[in-house]
Parts: sequence; structure tokens; C-alpha cells
Amino acid sequence: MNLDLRLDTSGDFYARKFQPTKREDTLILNMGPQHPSTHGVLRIILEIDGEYILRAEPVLGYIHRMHEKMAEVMSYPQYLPNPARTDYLHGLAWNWAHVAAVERLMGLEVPERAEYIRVITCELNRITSHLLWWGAYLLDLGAFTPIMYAFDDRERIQDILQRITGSRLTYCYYRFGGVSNDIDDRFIEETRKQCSRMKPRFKMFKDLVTDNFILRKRVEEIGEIPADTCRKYGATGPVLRGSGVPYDVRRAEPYSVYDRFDFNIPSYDTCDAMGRYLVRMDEMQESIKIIEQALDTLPEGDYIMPKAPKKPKPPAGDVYFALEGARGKIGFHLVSDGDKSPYRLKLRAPGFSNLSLFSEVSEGVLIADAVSILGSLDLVIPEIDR
Amino acid sequence: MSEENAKPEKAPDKEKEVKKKEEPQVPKYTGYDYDCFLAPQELLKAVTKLDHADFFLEDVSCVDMQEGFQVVYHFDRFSQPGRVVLRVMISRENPEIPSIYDIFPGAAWHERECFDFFGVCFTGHPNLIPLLLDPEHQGPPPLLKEETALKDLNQLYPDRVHTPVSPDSEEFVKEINNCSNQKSRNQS
Amino acid sequence: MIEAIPTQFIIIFVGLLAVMAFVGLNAIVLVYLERKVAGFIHRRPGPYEVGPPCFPHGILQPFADGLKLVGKQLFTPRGADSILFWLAPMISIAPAIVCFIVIPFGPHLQIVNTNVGLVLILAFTGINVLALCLAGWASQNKYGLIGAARDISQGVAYEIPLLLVVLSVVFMTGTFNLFDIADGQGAWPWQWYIFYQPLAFVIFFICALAETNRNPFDLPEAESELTAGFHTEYSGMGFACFFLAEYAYMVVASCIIAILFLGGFQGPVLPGVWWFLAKVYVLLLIMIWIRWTFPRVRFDQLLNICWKWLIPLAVLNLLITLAVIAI
Repeated sequence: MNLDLRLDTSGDFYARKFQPTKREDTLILNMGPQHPSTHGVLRIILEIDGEYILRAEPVLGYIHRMHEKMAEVMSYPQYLPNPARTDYLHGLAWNWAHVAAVERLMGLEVPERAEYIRVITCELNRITSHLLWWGAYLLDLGAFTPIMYAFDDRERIQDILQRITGSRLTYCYYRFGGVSNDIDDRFIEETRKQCSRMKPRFKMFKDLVTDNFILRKRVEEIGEIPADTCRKYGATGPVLRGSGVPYDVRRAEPYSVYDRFDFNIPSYDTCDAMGRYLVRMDEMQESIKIIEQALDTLPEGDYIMPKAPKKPKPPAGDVYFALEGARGKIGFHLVSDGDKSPYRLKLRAPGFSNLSLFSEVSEGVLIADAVSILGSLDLVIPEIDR
Repeated sequence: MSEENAKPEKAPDKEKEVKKKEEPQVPKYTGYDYDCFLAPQELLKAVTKLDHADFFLEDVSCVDMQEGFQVVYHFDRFSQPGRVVLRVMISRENPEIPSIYDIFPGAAWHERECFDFFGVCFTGHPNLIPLLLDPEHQGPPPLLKEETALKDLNQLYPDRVHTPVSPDSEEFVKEINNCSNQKSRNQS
Repeated sequence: MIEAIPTQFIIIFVGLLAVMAFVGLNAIVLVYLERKVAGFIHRRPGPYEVGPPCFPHGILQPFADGLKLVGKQLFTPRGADSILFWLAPMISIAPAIVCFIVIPFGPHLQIVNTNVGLVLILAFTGINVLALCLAGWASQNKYGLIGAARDISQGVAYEIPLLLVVLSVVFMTGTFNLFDIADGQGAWPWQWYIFYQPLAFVIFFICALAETNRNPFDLPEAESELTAGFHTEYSGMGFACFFLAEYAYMVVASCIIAILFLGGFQGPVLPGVWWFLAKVYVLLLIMIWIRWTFPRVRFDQLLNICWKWLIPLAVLNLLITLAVIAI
């Protein structure tokens, strides 16, 4: 049997460029790209000593589709469905960021009703994203049941959204200047029913899962990311809020009508995976609060601005629009030269910055803990690779 | 929801096109609270000052223009939110720029991505290998534009000042310390 | 010539055939039961489709599974040591079947009645660790290797509290003979040894879960960490053997718990064998229930539980038992 498992020199480009530490008798192992717990096609080259990781290096690009080139080649309305495919779990947020960047550059004013509809649908989508994260995280840790319960709620919300948007996962609902379809009374009624149904279920999730001592042992004190590390790497979202910094784009750079709603920004300063876990669980409840407030104060009016441009040609210039996605701060840097497609569109994905700190955080941890850390970062690889 | 806005940007019809040629249209808020150009050799000084002022790195990207590559750095702050954008022009024949990895380790991946898409070389980067594209890919970097499609600074940024600012100047330090998006919030 | 073969051998031989049938039948029932119970806990129906309308609720599912496993191509990975590779599943399942020879299913249903029945069973269940180690090593696969390494540590560590609590019961009853242990208990629950040794029952149950690699101790086959651990490279019948062996060891462990703590085949009205099977199945259901409820324990925490908690408690239990007996 071939005992030289240490450095497989016949590997590919990344395996050859991987610089192992100077220690002898360590094992170089590939986690992925096909792996049940890296959420998407992520490959991590690990150098391990028994169970401890000495060096980890993520390798990206397995689902890179060159969205930025597609944006330059396609016109603005042709590109509308694409952003949702980057992070398909919170597709409405990416859709919103694209549409709002163009609106900001052109100075379009979105009607109030459309803004409220955008807020309600985006928050519903945030809840589905967090529910799936929760189920998948626990599946990684070995608990097979919570994902089934999470998907129960998620299916109901997806049914609600499907009635008005037409899609269950990859939404293309927002248009330049508003939304493409108005919401009706049945949507409002079903959303209210679903919100009131979800509140006791959060309590059940907490009693059954969050307070389970095996889970707590797997999640507490794992993956300590101090706030300064988050700052150096640009990590945002629940990763940052789990390290004690209550930074949320909805409060820091208010967009749309978020400044009219009363909601908290949950943050825990334990800096570990449990902090990030609790932040997301609390965020779901805050989203429900926002949705209910929005439904109570929903104004009448147009759902899209009159004479909304079907084929916008923004004036020359550049804008940056930032948005709070489920994973962090989504940014669209749009440079236009007055033509029908952007001159340059840069997508800033929150997962990209969040994953870049994995190498630093995972030094000296066990493999099982590395799986737990990856789960707590809530990665969606298509968003990272774009 | 006011439709009676005097600005001509609203209705995309022929009148507007005539007016477009006369005056550059400026969006109400571009998302930038401090926007400046920098010379490449001043970049590290400026970024160090931003690091001391508690900014975090949003991203590093690149725009291909007639004059060369414009490397764009976006920074924002947790405690007093306001976006700073640094723009550095480098030539296409010798696309080198110092890497800010030592100050902000998160730039490592962003810079590798620029290297992938544009061929920009970041000196001092620990591991400048392709991040997203196939490393065995032969051919020019994908996001380079053809000669005929390149635009220059005046065409893309008609309302900005294009001369570089020095990071040692008091104006720079004052701007980044006071940088905040409060005024834009009060506007909109 | 036939007279020259001692009757003992004939009894053992026939008994082995019966045991293999029993293990096979059990596997079929357990596969179906596990998936149905999982479905129930997950609030979904579980297997439902397989089979014509006269076999509702997917009762033919285990047969479909078996057919699938038998029909798969058996291949050996390149570079793997093929002798060890295919020896490992056989080493895994053979002792499991042999263990059943000494288990008393009913007052008159025991194939071989020896004085060292318990020792035999403990010895054979220990061979499982060797089999899994061979499987991981011979696969020529890094994941398999790590899975095998984890399994050896886990298996060896958890045998110690297992043996200590078994010793407690043995000191109490004074014999290793399984039939006598079961016989010594009465027909009614308050006469069972679980009331004399509750701590031993709990420790034994936990060790049984760990020895058979069931959740929450299923790290050697952790799906989400190491893509199936030591049996990554097995397909078809090789995988089926490990699968069968796991269920067989679960049944053996449940049988032992039933005999040591729950009175074995003793029970009020019905003949003993039905009570025995009922107790075994209740224990199996509890094991399946636990599997679908808890997340996985991390490896160092697993060893911590064993060395820092279970072994001291088991030693304490033994000392208390000895003290009580001496008095």
C-alpha cells in the first residue's frame, strides 16, 4: 500500500501551490468540492495532524459564472433575473440591490406602496434564508430532524411568495421603479397567518434545539472571531453582529422605508459560533416584527412608478448601493457610460469577505469544529464565486 | 412619491436627451461620502490612515478605461457610517500597484480577483494566483474591454475632480474623520 | 460417520442457520422500522411507495433496498489491498452472528448453555473494532483512514465502562451464565435488576450506543464531516455487510440489556420468548429515537465523556455493589 500520503505531487494547480507548514507527518486532505457539508462547491485544502487543522486554504471558482461580464454584455432589463442567481437563498435582496442601484443613478422615485411591498417580501425571504441555514447547520452537526421542521415553515412562506412573484427560489420580482405585480388581500391575510404561526414555533426551536446541551457543546466557544478581525477582513452581517458590533445596513445607511419601522439589531459579544447562531434566530423574529408593522401601515397607491423605464439608459457616472442581505452587506458598484448596459458592474458579496477569514480562524481547530465554523458563517458558494 | 419633481431626470423622452448633452446629470446621492483620486505611491499611506480611523474594507475592484486601469477601493465604518472611495489610476502597459494586504488582510482575495479579471499585478501580495478563473486558462483577462469600447474619465465621471489628493494633506484627514452619511440621510 | 459427529455440533450448526435467519429477518424489520420511525419524528410518512396495494405503507421497502445492494457492482479501489478490503466486512458480521448462539431467547430456547456466555459475547463484540480498522486502512482513502482511527479510539475507550458495569451485575448474581442471570430475576418489573443497578443500566446503554456507532456517537461514519468515514469505498454487498453488522450488534446489545437488567425472558402471562422479543424491540426503538433527536457529539467530547465521566461512575458503581454484597 502506498504509504506516502503526505504530499500528493500529482495533484492539480492548487494542490501544488499549497504551502504546507514545516512539520513532518501531517496529512494533506481535500474537503470538497463534493462534500455534504460545504454548502455548495467549495474546496478546502487542509493540512491536518490527527484531528487538528494546521493550515486551511479555501479554493474557489467551481461555480464561477462571470456575472460581471454578463452584466456588461446584457442590457439592464436582460440582466434582471441574474442577481438572484448569485445568492439564491436571499434572491430578492440581490434583485433589490440591482434595481436600486440603477434607480439611484437615474434618480427614479419608487412609489411608497412599492417600497413597502419590497420590504415585506425581502424580509419574508430573509426568514426563509435563515430557516434553511438553521436546518442545514444542524444537519452538519448530525441532527437530522430540525431541517424537516425548518422546511415546513419555509414551504409555507415560499407558497405565499410564489403567488405574487411566480418563483419559489430565484426571484425576479422587482423592476426599475417598483415591483412587477401588486399584492392582494389574500397575500396580506396569509402573511399575517404565517407570522402568527411562526411565533410559537420559534419557542419550540429554542426549547428543543438551542437549549440542547449536545448542540451547545458543539457550538459554544467555537470559532472565536474578534471584532477587529472582522473589520480587517470586511466581514459583515451576523458574523459581525455575533462578535459584538451592532452594524446593520438597514440602520447604518437606511434605504427604502426602513427608517419608519421599529426593530432591534440583535448582537451578542461572545464572538463564537453560538453568538452568530443566536443573532440569526433573533433576526428572524425581528423580521416578523418588521413585516407586521409594514402590513399595518401599508399605503395605497401605485406599485410601480408611472412611466417606469422599460429599457433604462442611466446617465454617465457611478453609484454604490448597499443593502443588508441575510449573509451581510451586499454592494453593487455600478459604472455607467450612458449606454444600455453597464460599463462595469461590481458585485460585492458578503460571503466573499466572510469566507476569507476562515484560514485565520481555523488554525489549530478540530475538523469537526471546522465544519461547525463553516456552518456558522452561513456560506452560499454561488454568491462567493459569482 | 412626488411626481412633480422639477428635475429633468424623470421622463425619458426626447426633451431629456437634448438636455442631457447640455448638463451632466448628477444623482442625488451616489453612495459615496468622500470620493478622491490618489497616486499609486500614496496608496499605502492613505490606507494606513483609514485603518487608524477605524474603517473596514468593503471591496477592491477595477475599471478598465482609456487612460489605464482605475483600481477602486471602497471603505466604510461601523461606528460612524460613511463610505470613502479611493481611486488609483495605473497604466495598462505596466499595471502594478502596491498590495494593501499587510494593513487589511481581507484584501488578499479581492486583489486576486482583480488580478484574475484584469491582469493587475499587486506587488507585495503573498499569494497572487488565480482565485476564480481556471489557472490553466490561456488567454487575456476576461474583463478587459476592446479598444473601441474604452471610455475616458470625463466620459464616465463628468462631475468629479480628477486630480489626485495627497493623503498627508489636512483636507484628507479631515474628510475621512468627518465622513458620514448623515447629510445624505437628511436629504432623502 | 454421521454418528461420529457429536450432537452438540449438529445443534450448533442448525442453531447457526436459525440465527442467521433471525438476523436477516431482524435486519429487514429494523431497516423498515428505522425509516418509518424517522419519518414519524420528522412529521413525514416515511417509505410509502414500494409494493402493490396488498402491501401498503411501503412494507416491501427493505426488500427493494436489499435487491439494490445485491445488484450493485463490487469493485475494489485501485491500490487497495483487496484481501483485507473484502475480509473486513466478513470479520465485521461473522462474530455478530456467533454471539446469538449463547443468548437465551426463552426458557428452553438457547442453542448453547455455557458458563461463560457473557464473556463470549463481550469478546466477540470487541472484534468489530478490528474489522472497522481494517476497512479504513485497506480502503486506501484518507477519509477512511481518519474514520478508522476515530473508530478505534471510540471502540476501545467505551469497552472499559461496559466491562465494569457488566462486572457489577456479575458480582451481584455470581455467574457469567446468561441463562442463570435471566432466571435469577422474577417475572415482574420490580424484581428486575434495573432496580438494583439503575446507574449500570444507563452506563451500559450509553456504551452500547457508542460501541455500535449509533448517533450521537456516530463519528466514524459521520456523513457530514467525512463522507461516510471508514465505509466510504464500499458499495453493494460490502456496504450491506457493515450495515447488517451494525444492526446485528444493536440487537445483541439490546438482548444483553434485556437479559442483564430487564429480566430476559421472564414475564407474567405469555411464554417467555414473546416478552424477550418485546423488550428487545422496545430498546431498539429507543435507540432509533435517540438517533433522530440528538446532534453528534464531537470527538474529543466523546472521549471526555468516556474517560472523565463514565469510567469513574462505573468504578463507583462496582465499588458500591461490592460493598453492598460484602455486608
